[in-house]
Amino acid sequence: MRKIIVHEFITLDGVIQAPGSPTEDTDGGFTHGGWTLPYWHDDIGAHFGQIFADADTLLLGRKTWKTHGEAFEPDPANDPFNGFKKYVVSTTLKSADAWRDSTIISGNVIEEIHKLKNRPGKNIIMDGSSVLMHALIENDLVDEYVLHVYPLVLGSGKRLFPDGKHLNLKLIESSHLPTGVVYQRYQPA
Amino acid sequence: MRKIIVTEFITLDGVIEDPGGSEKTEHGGWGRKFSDNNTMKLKFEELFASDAQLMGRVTYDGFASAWPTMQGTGEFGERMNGMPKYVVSQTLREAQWNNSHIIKGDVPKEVLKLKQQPGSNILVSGSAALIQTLIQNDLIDEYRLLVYPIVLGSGKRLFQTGTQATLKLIESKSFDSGITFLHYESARS
Repeated sequence: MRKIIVHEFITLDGVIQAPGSPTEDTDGGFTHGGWTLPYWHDDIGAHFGQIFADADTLLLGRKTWKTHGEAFEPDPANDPFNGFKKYVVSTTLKSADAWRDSTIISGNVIEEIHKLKNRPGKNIIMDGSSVLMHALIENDLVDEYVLHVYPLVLGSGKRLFPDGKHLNLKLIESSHLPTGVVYQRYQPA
Repeated sequence: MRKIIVTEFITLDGVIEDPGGSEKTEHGGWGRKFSDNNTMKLKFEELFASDAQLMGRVTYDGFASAWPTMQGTGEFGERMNGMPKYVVSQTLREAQWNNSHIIKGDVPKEVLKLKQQPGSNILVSGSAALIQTLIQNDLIDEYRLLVYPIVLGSGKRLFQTGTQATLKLIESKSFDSGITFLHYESARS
């Protein structure tokens, strides 16, 4: 069965909101957007390369899908997900035209994701997508957590793990980058 | 000036509450199923590089009910029971644990005075509420975090809503048990 691999840029206090730019996601009055930028290192790109190599599908919530689409659709040659099939979970989206090769999942989300995992193919990657992420974690659908942990405490913002869910994990890999980012990979125990 | 070093057993979702179970909370005791000689060595070295403990009342009560009568703790236990303990509490009348001193009143001022006295490192364990005050007053010098491969979903966290900090990674290492040691210092310009 295909695996769902979750990647997140995450702070030391568990926040995953708006890592890439100040305007990416200001929900809840979040003002810290772009917090990963001062810590970039090429190893981060190399880590993505490693997880993309075994994947051919992207599963996202509406906001993350829209943000990625806006960044990558105009310039497909530089789209790191070029060639990936995209699934966007949304009950409000009417068209998936904003990013090529996208299909909308609008109902029976957990069932559809089970079906997706059971179809032949390579791994499925998720990133951002805090609302969808919580649903998958609660339903034990995540097969691996790939985390870049930043030396920051932001005090507010959307978090990776939903309240009330207990998980026993196994550490698969751990290292750190010269810029102070820690790289951790976990699988359910 | 003496350093304040926050040292915690912490889950992947940032919970530090009751890893040993002595506070008798619902989710307490989560640290106990991982026994790892490497982490014990780390804790031993850290205790012997310090000569005082600073803690909030809830942590103090838990420690004070456990350490004086715990069996088989050898030199570690002797030092825990022998070294000076400073408990921050506006309401505690008597601190029963051997060599305890109550800090009340203007806590940031009193803690700064403690740092200015001659001596070695001051360890802070547990103490979620006190830590927010220490962070707000820029009194913490280092964080030594033992990150356990579990998500608890409930319990007091090291960093609470509204608390912000920028840290600098000193080192990271991981152990066969799946526990990762993350050592940070406060980033001060």
